[in-house]
Amino acid sequence: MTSVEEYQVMTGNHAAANACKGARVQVVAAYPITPQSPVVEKISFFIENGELNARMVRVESEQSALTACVAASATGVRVYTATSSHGLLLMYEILCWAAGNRLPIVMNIAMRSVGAPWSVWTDHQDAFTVRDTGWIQMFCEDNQEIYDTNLQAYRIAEDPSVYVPIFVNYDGYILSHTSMLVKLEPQKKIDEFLPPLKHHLNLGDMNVVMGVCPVTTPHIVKRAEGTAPGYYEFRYSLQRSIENSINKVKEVHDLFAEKFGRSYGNGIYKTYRAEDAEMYIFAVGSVASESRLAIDKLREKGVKIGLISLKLFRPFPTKYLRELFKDAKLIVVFDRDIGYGYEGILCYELKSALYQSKNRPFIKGYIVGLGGRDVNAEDLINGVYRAIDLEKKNEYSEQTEFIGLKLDELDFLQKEVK
Amino acid sequence: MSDAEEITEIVFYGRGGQGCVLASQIIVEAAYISGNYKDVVAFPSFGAERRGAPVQAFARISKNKKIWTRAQIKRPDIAIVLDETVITPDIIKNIKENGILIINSEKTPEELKNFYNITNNIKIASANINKFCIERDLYLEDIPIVNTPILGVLTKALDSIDLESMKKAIIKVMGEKKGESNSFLAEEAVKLTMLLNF
Repeated sequence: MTSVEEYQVMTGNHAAANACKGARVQVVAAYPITPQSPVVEKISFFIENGELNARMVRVESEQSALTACVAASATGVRVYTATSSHGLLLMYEILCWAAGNRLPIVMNIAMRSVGAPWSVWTDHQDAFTVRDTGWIQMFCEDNQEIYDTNLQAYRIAEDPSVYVPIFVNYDGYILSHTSMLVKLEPQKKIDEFLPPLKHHLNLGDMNVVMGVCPVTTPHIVKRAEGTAPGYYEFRYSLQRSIENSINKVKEVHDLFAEKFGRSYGNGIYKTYRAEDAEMYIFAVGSVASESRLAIDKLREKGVKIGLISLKLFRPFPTKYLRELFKDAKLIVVFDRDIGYGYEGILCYELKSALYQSKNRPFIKGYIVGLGGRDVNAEDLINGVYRAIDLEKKNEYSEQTEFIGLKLDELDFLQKEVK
Repeated sequence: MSDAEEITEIVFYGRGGQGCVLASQIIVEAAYISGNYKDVVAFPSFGAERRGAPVQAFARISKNKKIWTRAQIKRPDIAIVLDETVITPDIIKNIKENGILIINSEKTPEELKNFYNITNNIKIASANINKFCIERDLYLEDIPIVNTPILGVLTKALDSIDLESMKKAIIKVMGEKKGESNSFLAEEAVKLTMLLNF
C-alpha cells in the first residue's frame, strides 16, 4: 500500500469481475441474484466497452447458466460464472456434470444464507452445501484475495493433472459489497502467469470424434477401439485428481507469490500469531478475519492463541492439519454454517481429519452469524473462554451452541416462561 | 475496541437517494489519497434500501494497521448526518468520547447542543447545506445534493483529510465532469462550516 496509483478502491464483486477480465475469460453465463449480481453487471460493462472480448450468454435461470458454461467449456474455451444461495442450489445437478466432465470452470460464490425464512444476508451455508459435488473449493478473506485467488484458480483448474472445476467463495455483502484497496495487475504480467487454455476437450474440432456424458455402465466395456472405463473408474479418477490437486494448489500459489509479491499463507491455510500458540481458532472467510481481532485481545490477556484461517476446503488438507495441530491443546471452531442434526460442518470435518492423529486436541465448535447476524470480536472471545473452561473440565457439550443468539429479547418466549 | 487509536470509524445517516453510499466511498478514497491512511474500507447498510427511507453507510480508515474487522460499527468516531430528520437520541449517544458529529442543519452547533440536549463529550460541526442547495438550485431528481458538500465540512472537522485530497477523490469516484462541479460544492461548503469544541 505505497503508491496511490497502484491501488484502487473497489468492492469484492468488482475485484472478481476484474480478475475475469485479467484472465481473458471467453464465455460468461450467469443469472442475477443478490449479492452476486454486480459481478456480472461489471463483466457486461467490460464486454460492452470492448475491454473484454467475451460472449455473455443470457439465460433464464441458474441451472441454464451453468449448463451454458458446461457446454461452452466443452468446446475448449475459458468459462466463468458466479452465483449465491438459491442460485447455487438450483445449479446443483449441473455442478455434478461439470465435475464429472472434468471441465475447468471457475465460479465465484458470493456466499449467502439459504431460506426459509427468506434472507439475503451472508453465511457460508450455500458454499458448504455443495462440497460433495467434485469441485475444488477455496475461501477468501479480503477483496485482493478474491482477485488473486480467481487468477490462481484458472491456472489450477486448467492444469492437465487437475482438470477440475473450482469454487472461489467470498462472503456476500461483507466482501461482495464492501469497498477495499485492490491492486490490479498489468495484463502482460497476468498473461505470463496464465497462458491461454489448452483444453482436453474441444467439441469444435470436427476431426476428432468425442463422447461427452455418454451412458457409462458399472463395468468396463471392451470395444474394438479400446477399453472404456466404467462409471466407477471415472469417479475414482475424479477423486484422485482432487486429492492430488493439493500440490498444484500450493505450487500455483507459490508461483503467484513470486510473480506478484502477494501470498496467502501456504496457499492452503493462513496463520495469524500462531507461532507459539497452544490453542487455535479455526475458521474461514469473514469469521476468520474477525477472529484476528479476538486473538489480539486474547493475547493482551496472556492467552496463547493463534488463528488458522482455512483457504482450501476441498481437497480437505488432512495431512497439513494433522501436522499443524500435532501439539495443539485446544481448537475452537467457529462455523457460519451448520450440518442440521449434527454440528458445524467445518468442525466435524476437522474432527474427522484429526481422529487418526497421535495427539487429539480438544475441539469445541460454535455456530455464529447465520443469516448475517453480526459476528464481533467480543462474542468470539467469550466463546474461546468458555472453550478453555470446558477443556479444563474435559466436558463435551451435547448440544450445538449458538453464539450471539437473542432469545432473551423475544417477548413471546418470556411470556411463556412466566 | 482495541484498534481505537488506529482505526477511525465513520457512520453516515441519511435517507435513500441522498447518496450516503457514494459519500462513504469518496471518503475512503480521500483518506487513501491524503497519504495519511494505509488501509480503508467502505460498506453500505446491507440489504434492501429504498428512496426516502432512513439509510446508513459506513467507513473505516486506518493509519497503520490493516483493517480485518468485518463487524458492524456500533459506536463511531464520526457520525455524519445528511438529513436532520433521521436523527435519534441513540445516534448522538453512540458517538465515541471526543468523537465528532457532522450535521446538515440550519442550527448552529450551540443550538444543536441545547436542542438535542447533547451532554456527551463530542465535537460538533454543522452547516446549512439545504439552504445552500436551494439558493443554487442544486437538485438531483428533486433531492438536494448534500452528500458532496458535507464532505467539504468533514475536511474542516478532520485534519488528516485535507480539502485537496477530498476534491481529487470526488473527481476520481464521480468522473471528470460531475466530479469537477461536485468538488466545487465541497469547497464552497467549507465556508459554511460552524464548529464547536474543536
